[in-house]
Amino acid sequence: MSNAGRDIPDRLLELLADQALEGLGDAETRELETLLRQHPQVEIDSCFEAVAALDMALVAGDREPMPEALAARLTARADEWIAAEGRSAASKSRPVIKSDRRIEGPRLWWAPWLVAAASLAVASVVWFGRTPSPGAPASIENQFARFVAEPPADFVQVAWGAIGKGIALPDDFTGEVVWSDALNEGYMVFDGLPQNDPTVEQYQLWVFDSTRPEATPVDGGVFDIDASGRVIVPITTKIPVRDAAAFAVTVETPGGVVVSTRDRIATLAAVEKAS
Amino acid sequence: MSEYGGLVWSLAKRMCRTHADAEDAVQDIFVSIWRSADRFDPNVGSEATFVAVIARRKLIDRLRAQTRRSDTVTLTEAAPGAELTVDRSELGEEARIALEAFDELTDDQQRVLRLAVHHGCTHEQIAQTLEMPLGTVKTHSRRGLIKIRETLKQRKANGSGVGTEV
Repeated sequence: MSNAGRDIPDRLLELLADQALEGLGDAETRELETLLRQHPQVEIDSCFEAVAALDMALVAGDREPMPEALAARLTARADEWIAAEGRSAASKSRPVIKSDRRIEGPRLWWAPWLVAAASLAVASVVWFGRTPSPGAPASIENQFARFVAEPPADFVQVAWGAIGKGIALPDDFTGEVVWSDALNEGYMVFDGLPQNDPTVEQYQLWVFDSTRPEATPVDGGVFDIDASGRVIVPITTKIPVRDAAAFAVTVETPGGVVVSTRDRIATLAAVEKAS
Repeated sequence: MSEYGGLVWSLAKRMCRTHADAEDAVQDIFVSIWRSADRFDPNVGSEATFVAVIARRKLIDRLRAQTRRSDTVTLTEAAPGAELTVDRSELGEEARIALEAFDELTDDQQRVLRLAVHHGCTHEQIAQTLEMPLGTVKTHSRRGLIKIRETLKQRKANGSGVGTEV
């Protein structure tokens, strides 16, 4: 049997062919593994690819659509899988909290905001990840997914706490902030934040930087929430954030404000530092 | 899923004994595709081939884990040239090249490979169906497949576009 001049033993090709055609027994599998170690240049999927290509050609004439009921079950299973994978991916990529970013007890930069809030819900650090919804623009979804899947060393992921001062939040409101000081990149995810009318009011993000005075949080820009339910918003701060300690979302006049009165605070997420 | 649902379903249906088994297989295959999606490299092969390779692996695993098909394959099904009413213009690049290479094989190699690939038959079943010695069946299937593999590799090396077309 010719192997076209390549330095590949015929037996190795035979085993690859048999594997792709009907699988191998234990002894043959061990033999194949031994030969592959001796010939690492061999593309182990090459026979599978040849069979797959031929299979696609032979099946082309009588290809059938997938039954609708099966497609529906698969779609449901895909949603479950994506949700499970999102949680799994997030747990695998738990954020690394830099030890030098510890917040000392009395220096809670965002404390006045919390005190001012009618309903104080201390934001706790939770680790969860969800795949972006179809409602968000694909590019932002992809950026967010990549950011979470390949987190930077100083990645933090914090759940929004439902503050709801001056704005009613639904009971099932959830969301999170993911952020990196080093990259000055981050995303906010909201699920259930009420839709706003941009001609009347807009949401505005504030980032509390522990290296700056609490009275002057960094302006994170304004954004809108549509009716799609779950929204991903990239964070674009006006100036670099060196050590994010908390994120707060207020409701402001269209275009945002330079200094917030803090009368209407939708939600807040505090970065819990490792002790 | 919408793009490859028909392909995976068709592959599974041919290699599974029952409708229910084919449905289970399709679900296994898609879960495997989702899990492996980050391994897809468009420089290596097309998306369709990536999906079909995963499907093939899963279906073979299932076949080996189950009692083998015992259906008798008719000689009509195994005849060279049978079932090749394929509109080649609708095939992806890799499938088209594979089919061209398949056309160059001997009649016996085509019969054996069609039974092995298209019908999921074992070498032993093919030997019974075609009344050929088992060793001859293995030789035909291996040589035929290796020839197709080499053709695909050569075309890829020559930059035929393999790997860029779905």
